[in-house]
Amino acid sequence: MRKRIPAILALIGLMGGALLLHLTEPSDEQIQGPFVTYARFGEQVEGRNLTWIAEDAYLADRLTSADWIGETDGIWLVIEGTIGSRLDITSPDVSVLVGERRYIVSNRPGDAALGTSLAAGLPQSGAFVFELPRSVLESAEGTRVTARFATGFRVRLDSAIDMVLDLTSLEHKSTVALPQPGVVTS
Amino acid sequence: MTRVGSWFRSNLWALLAVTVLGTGAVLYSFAFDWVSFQNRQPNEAVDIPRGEPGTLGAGTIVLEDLVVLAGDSDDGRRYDVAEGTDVVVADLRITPDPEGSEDNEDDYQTCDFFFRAPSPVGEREWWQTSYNPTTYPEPEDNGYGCNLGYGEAYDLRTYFVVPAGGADGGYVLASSEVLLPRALRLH
Repeated sequence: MRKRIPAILALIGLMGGALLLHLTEPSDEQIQGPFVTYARFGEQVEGRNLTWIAEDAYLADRLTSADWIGETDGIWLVIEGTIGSRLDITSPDVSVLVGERRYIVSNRPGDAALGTSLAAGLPQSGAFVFELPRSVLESAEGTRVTARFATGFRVRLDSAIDMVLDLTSLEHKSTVALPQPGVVTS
Repeated sequence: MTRVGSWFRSNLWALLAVTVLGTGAVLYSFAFDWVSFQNRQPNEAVDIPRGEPGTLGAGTIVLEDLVVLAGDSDDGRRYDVAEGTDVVVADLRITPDPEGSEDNEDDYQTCDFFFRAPSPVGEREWWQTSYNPTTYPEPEDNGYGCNLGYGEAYDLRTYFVVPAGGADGGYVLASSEVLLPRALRLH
């Protein structure tokens, strides 16, 4: 019997190890999740391929551009800044997470807002525009909203740039003329 | 301790087998993704000097000329190159498969052109534009797209918009999704 004690101890150790491994095993979401960098106003942040400098964020009841007027029953969230690609062409995937709900960037402004593809080394400045329900302003979730800038809707093993906003503290404007997007050259 | 040591010695082969098999299982689980990913990259690209033909699939491609129009230069201003950018103009001669036929669907083969150049953040890549972004004169008989499958040889002028100075040390990459990882680096 004594001869078997090391084997029994080893078996118990291996089983305990396996149980510990199983209990602490990261989920698929954690294994394949994005590598997040957090952005703040006025600071350039870089992901694997995207760069982003946030300049301003505000709410608006109505947006205008040269050939578009944006009316909404909800509210517009406008985030102005400069977005670029470091290595190759990419179409930024930008969305806002309010609690469990995710709102993708609005395509209603067309060329008057950012969102088109970016060529390497040729960043574009302008505004990303989101159409949100007004109820988010009264909800607790509205105090901690995350804007995500990434290279795909579901980011797997790639970087993402997140920016946390408190919608209730943003300036609320009635009508805003969107800044015309354009390539920024140094 | 002696007993434990003795136990390890007597089970050495079993422990070795577990270690090797465990490591093998981890490597095996990654292998498919890795090989598949590598096969979608132009890892077997061949360097082709200017004016020399490179074979891609059943066709050949020659980079006959490569001109960089710097936005901040007399030429750039003359041809309306946007400030802060350079425009790379690539003149290519494409000879499709001489035995290919338009009537045979299997002979249809396209390719794509990219411009790649080194930079402090790594090698950067630009796609060809679908139009002439300048007033640089077009050839009278400019071809359209890349067809390696069949037809007569033709000339193709294509353009890439890069940041100012970004074209230094660059080359044109010719590749076809179905032929990867084989590709051509046209210098």
